[in-house]
Amino acid sequence: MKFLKGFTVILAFLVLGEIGAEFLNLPIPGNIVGLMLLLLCLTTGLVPLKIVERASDIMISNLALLFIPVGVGIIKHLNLIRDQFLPLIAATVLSTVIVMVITAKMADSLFASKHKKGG
Amino acid sequence: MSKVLSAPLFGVFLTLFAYVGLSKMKEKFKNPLFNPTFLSIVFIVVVLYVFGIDYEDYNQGGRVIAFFLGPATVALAVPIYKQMERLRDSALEIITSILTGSFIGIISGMVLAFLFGGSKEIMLTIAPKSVTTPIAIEISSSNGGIPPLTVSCVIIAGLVGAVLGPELMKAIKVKNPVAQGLSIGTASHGLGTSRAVQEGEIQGAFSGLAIGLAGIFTSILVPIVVWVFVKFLS
Repeated sequence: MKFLKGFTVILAFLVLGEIGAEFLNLPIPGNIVGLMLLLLCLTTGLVPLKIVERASDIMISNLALLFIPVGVGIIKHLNLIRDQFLPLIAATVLSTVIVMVITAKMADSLFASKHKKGG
Repeated sequence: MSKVLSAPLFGVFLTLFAYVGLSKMKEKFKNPLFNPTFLSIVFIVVVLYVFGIDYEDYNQGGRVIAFFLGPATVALAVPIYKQMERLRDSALEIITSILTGSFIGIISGMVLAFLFGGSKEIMLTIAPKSVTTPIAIEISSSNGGIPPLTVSCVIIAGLVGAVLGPELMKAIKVKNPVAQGLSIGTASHGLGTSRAVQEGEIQGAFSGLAIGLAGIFTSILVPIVVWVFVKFLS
């Protein structure tokens, strides 16, 4: 019952997010709007953590299962993968390395200068 | 036979069978490259291909599982909320780092895809590859990418972070554990984070914080970047 209650609250935020995104013509997907609304309500205390905690934990610990069917959709794009294999793989790998280097260097220097100032 | 194959039961069973079986095997092979999700996708694709089963038949069940991606994305608010107290001391430094990393992730992915001869569709498919899969799928589909390919790119980005992340930090001489965590979480979401956790508690926590924030920032940044691309570059 605790799961169902939390799940229902989460679904309510999903519905709100989808309606909000559609109504306001937002370029952000409805479920991410729902995420932001739930985060806002948790931060302000409008929704207590314990109501949604269990349902959230169950779904998130099985997240990797949930996107398998979407991933299987590559079967419809096998020709495209063959044609675009290099840009897909090389851009993904190189870009990931670039993001790690820049984010790490950026954070490292921001924290270093903060500590120098004695903050 | 064909009735059974086109009922939702078949797709649900095949997906769970692959995932549960391969997750069980993962316990034996600790190598991060043995990724149960990616291998499940490959296994199911091979089964459908070899037995000539229509993707639409499989997807009767696939849709039942994929339905939960929507609520699961909303549920990500909970771990983000729990990690938010970590923001207290240095919110500005953390947010600036993750925001910069997310922006670089989108731009470098799209530009590199273009340089390697990728089509516009491929550029849009790669744009959200640094963030956690459910968010990346939504960003991909609402901005003209191909969600199934985005899933593969997200997993590859995650594996790069999980396999190379800590070694890369050594190579570029970044010793601050907070910076290491933020970097790995921003670039390679949960898969990178599972490795960051092994490096240390601080690395794991800040990597986890970066997953959520990078997801939110990227969902806002991608439509803006795409708009600029369309407006000025095409």
